[in-house]
Amino acid sequence: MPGFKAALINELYKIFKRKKLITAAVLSVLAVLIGQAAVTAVQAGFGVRLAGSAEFPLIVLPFFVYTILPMFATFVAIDLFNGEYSAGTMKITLTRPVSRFSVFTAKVTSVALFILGSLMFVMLVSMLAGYIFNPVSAGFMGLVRAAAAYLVSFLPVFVFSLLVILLSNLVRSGVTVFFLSLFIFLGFIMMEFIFSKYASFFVTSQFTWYTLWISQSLNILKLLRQTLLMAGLGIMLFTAGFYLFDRRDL
Amino acid sequence: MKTRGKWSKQSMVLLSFILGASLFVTTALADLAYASGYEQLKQAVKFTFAQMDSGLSNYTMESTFYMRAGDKTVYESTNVLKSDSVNKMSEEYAATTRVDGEVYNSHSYRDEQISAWKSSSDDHYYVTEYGKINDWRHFSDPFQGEEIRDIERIIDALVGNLKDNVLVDMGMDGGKIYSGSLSEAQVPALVNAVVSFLAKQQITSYSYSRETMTRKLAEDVYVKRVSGQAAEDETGLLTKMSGELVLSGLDEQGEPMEMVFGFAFQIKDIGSTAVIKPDLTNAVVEKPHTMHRFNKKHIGTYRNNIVIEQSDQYLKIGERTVEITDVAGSSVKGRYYETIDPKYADLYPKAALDFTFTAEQVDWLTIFEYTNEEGELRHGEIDIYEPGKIFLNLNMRYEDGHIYYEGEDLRDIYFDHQFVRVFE
Repeated sequence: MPGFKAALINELYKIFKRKKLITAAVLSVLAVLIGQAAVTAVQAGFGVRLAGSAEFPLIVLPFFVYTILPMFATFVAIDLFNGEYSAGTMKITLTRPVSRFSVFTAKVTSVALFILGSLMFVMLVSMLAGYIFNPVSAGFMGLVRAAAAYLVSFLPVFVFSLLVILLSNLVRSGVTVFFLSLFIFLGFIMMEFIFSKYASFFVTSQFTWYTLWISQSLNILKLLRQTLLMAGLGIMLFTAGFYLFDRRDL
Repeated sequence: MKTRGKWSKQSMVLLSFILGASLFVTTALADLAYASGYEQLKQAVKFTFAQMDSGLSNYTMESTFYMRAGDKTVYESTNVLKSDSVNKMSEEYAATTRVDGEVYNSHSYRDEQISAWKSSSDDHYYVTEYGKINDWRHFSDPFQGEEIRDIERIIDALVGNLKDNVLVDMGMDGGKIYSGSLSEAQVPALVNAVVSFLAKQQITSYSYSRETMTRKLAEDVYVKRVSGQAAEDETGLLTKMSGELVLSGLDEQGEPMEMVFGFAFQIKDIGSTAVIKPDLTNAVVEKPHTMHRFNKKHIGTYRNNIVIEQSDQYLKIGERTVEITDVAGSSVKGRYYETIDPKYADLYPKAALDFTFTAEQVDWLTIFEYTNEEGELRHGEIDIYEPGKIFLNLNMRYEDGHIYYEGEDLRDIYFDHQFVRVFE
């Protein structure tokens, strides 16, 4: 993939230049602090412990993957595609001696790195908050569990962002893409509740699949099926997204 | 060359998409076809309930509930239920151990004719004789109802990903072993908070805990572990099931402690359980009110004044009279009539009612039929009241074992249904 590295650095540079990155970081820290305040308040008020130091990151995680993370991943995806189309900068990107596939892959990888980076950032912040505010010692296994949970949460959020990328290449307006993504996101959550038997088909249900990874006895078959489902969906979305990106006139 | 490159790119795209789609569809189909441990367990529970309701001819079910604080048992109850649906008999032994170590026992027995009950506080069996065939049913399948399906769906949705924690293994005898365990990290925060809070409230309000429980959870309460096991035999029946919820926290002195809530069920001796009717020689027998309570002493005349209220006085305008003329077996014979003082006749616009009746016992009611002044069929109810008094209700409709009041009647005005014996 000639030029991929250059294209990736280029895309990452664009993300870092955006104010959204700082907003996402500030919001994430705020969410962790608000979560910590709630945990402390419940503990003091009701004498009920919501989380020990190792469990606190696991309380933050579902909240984070269902709100801030997919929202900002959507923003970043829209920025990298619709934003560039509307600003007319996509031409500059594509006139570089890099194949369209490399540009697309670099953009997708940038979104992936954004998601992974955000997860790691929130994990570290919440672990820190957990250790400072919840004075219950946690073993090494607690840390490993939390880290595993954050790492595996990458996959479903990334697959969802591939759906947003597909929409970004299908629809011209970034605002429309945002609302469509929101609509699909909420629709999936509703569907997985109504048709709970088919919940695995809606990628939002895998947003909490980290519970499978940290369970005391691993359900290997279920994990395999979930991974294959997400891989299949991911490949389809990536290919369809690339197809549209490749055929798109500037 | 360029065209060929374009073609190969397109075919690559197509191939890749087909690969993704096949992967997704085949896994999705496999996921659908595969009944999860949770689904299998749910089916087994349904099957077991249906069998307990109307499948097994006889069985013994043992169940235990317990609550431990630290290493002290705060509460424990054990029940042994023996059921024989062929002979329609069941008996139940129950033992409850309280925090002070005191054990409370009871034994109950039930068939179509009687139900008997005896506790450790008394030597006698207390027997209720139904007098006729009673609807013997010791267990009804909760999954029979319509609304349970909606509840099931809601529970399925709420359980969500946690259902993947139910694991299934093949048992030695061709059956299945279910197991599941959730650690603190896996119990959703909200569930953890609600359970901890409720359990804490429950422990605090547990009447015995105040006086005798030296230690109880006070601070930092959380669900440490939830676990459960179940065994299904080769016929699909759940023969064993147990579960435990461990709460952890600090006691009032700030010392760490654990509380354990657990249960265990076992179904055994299927086909070889015999229910034995207890010796009721010294039993205290009570016959429920299946016969009317009238006897010869109630024969006589009873009166109720018809009184109307005017602005400056109460005015007696007539009398309602019930004459009980005969009491025999299940029937009470008599006459009801109203006498209105002619000078007040215009104050009582309806025709005075006068009829004879034969009241029969229907379930626990003594009911008679009569025709009202408009020629409509109505029902009345008669019963004994305080000494020397009877109770009468008119203008009712009796259908399908239920009694309905037919709205306002002139007779309802200032009518207290109480008739006082006339002693002359």
